[in-house]
Amino acid sequence: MATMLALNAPPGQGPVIQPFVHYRCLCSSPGPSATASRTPSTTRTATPTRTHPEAGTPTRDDDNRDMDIDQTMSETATPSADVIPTSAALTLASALHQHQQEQHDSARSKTAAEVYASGNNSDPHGSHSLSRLYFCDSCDEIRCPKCTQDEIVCYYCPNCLFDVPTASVKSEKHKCSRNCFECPICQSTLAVVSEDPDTGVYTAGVAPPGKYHLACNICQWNSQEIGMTFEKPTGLAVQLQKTEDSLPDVKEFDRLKDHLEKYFRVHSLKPGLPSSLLTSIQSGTLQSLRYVSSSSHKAQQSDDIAHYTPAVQVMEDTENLEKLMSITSLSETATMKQRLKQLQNQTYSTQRLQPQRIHLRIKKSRRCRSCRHILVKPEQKAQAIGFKINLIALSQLPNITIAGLQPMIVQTVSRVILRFTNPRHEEAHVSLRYGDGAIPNHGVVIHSPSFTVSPFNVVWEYEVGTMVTAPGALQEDVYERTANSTSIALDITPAAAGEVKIPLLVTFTFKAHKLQSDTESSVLPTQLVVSGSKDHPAPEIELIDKTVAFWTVIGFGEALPTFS
Amino acid sequence: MFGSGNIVEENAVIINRGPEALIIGDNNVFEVGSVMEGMKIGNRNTLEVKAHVKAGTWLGDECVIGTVCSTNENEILPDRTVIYGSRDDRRIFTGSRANQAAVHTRHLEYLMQILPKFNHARTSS
Repeated sequence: MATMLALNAPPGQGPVIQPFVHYRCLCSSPGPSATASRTPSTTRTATPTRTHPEAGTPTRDDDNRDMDIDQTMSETATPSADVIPTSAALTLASALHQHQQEQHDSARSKTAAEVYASGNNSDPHGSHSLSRLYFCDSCDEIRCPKCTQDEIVCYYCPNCLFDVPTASVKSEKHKCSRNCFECPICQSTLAVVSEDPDTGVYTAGVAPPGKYHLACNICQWNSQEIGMTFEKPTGLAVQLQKTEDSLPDVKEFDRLKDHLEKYFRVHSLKPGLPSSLLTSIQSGTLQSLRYVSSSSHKAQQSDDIAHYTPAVQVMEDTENLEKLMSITSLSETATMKQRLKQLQNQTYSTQRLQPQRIHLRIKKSRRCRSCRHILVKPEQKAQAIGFKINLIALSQLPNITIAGLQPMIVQTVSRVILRFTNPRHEEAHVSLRYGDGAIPNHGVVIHSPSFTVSPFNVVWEYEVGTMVTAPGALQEDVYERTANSTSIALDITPAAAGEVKIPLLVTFTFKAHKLQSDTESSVLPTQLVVSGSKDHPAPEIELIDKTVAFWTVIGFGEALPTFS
Repeated sequence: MFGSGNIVEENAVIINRGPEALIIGDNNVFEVGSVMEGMKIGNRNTLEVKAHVKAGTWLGDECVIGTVCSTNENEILPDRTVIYGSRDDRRIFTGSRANQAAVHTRHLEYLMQILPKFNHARTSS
């Protein structure tokens, strides 16, 4: 497909524009639903950018400028200003769940028109490919990485896969406190090797007691080259702790921290400020002081109050300079990567590079900003790579792919096949609508604007060949129907040359299990006993219809101008 | 000319691309998929998996050509050169390679026991 397009593109035009399918998240386009649903979280989240209602207005203006001029946008801006105070009052006045639910439902019913207006353009800004998106099943909305926030779940060492308890992470400076070291030359993991003094031959593994040292299997580096040997093969980090603590820069940093801590507590600055204060003291530039603004005089005050004399004087390193000037081969100096791994002295000479403890890694979880539900939660253990909760859009929403593409020529009808793949275990219904707000507005004819897609069944994956089923459903004009996907045909007439992008509003209706928290009535004990009765069906197996509407921007590559 | 105690593993390629005889020393290891097209190779070298020694190159003693690394053509590599990493960095390593000689001896002994069991060689008669 890509090569076909490359052959069609006239030579000397630069990189070929590839077709794509992107989904639009509601957070990138302003609307009362987006801001109203975010107000409950303003008090809780620390990030002030998008969640603050006042800050919402400047971002809305930015989006307006970015997107193509859409007249309906300015109209939606004014009613949203009225909606915010009322919804904020509602949530602040009554924190009851039912109130929130009502407001949410009313906000959702308003979004039908706003959702249509929000994405009715072919601007790919703010749209993502499906693999990057999440789907919140309590809000029933697409969430992009910007409208979700991530939090750290656990810290672990990538080498020994040891779950480091969060309390000791800071004291160990985010490094593994067991025998995990990385080679100063090639940054690969070092192995602990023992030396057998009796026979004079080196043996591997846990051998009779002798001196132990570190060795790299990749670049054959030895810790004996820098004279680093150990008495015991375990707890190497502890054995190095003493030498680490006595380094001059660590002592200097502790002294400096003690000296400045008094002044921070006196001025009672916010925790976010000290870093900018320190830079403003060091650099003394007006720009950083302007950012600090009100506390700029405080900075000068703390500078005047006490002059700090460092315990270690940094000398002019003339001998290092001479050594550097007389370098003949590259192997004598450390590379940038090697120097930056060793932040305490960042030595130029390869001889002074030391093995560093391995840096810890983290596992993160993602949370929806509006309803605070967790979307992605990995398992706590470092060895387990699965997820406890994994609400990614790929497993909740239909995956739209371009299954057939004819070369596009201006003012010529070309047929495009779009395949919708249903990842859910129940049958789903899709209806499409072409948005006419795109500039340039290409002519699009959708042959089957409304169709169903069969559910996903693991058993069918093992069947060789596609299953073309028509299980009693009378859907005409569907191009092709296979195991869990349906392909439809679109006729596109490009109006202008250049990249062809069309906005498509997809309404996806599926059956989902009703969440326990959604039940309005309180769960009486008798309800659980009486199952299957007309008035109170058993809550566990209840399936309700849910509808999600979202915009997609589909690009088909370049349209060539007509030959005439 | 092949020395003694060399271990040549599966899919290793040893080709003489030059006009003279290819000289291979003792106790070398040619791991799986390695390609040796050079002119000379010394003792106790290791060509790791998919290593490539290009034509005209001389290898000294105790060199290590790392996994998927290659030398340049017509080079003379000094003793104890290590070629490693994705960019074929090199360095000369000091200090002896821990467990290299002992492991090699044990590898040879193991192979001498196992191979006759499963690969029946015809006795020359």
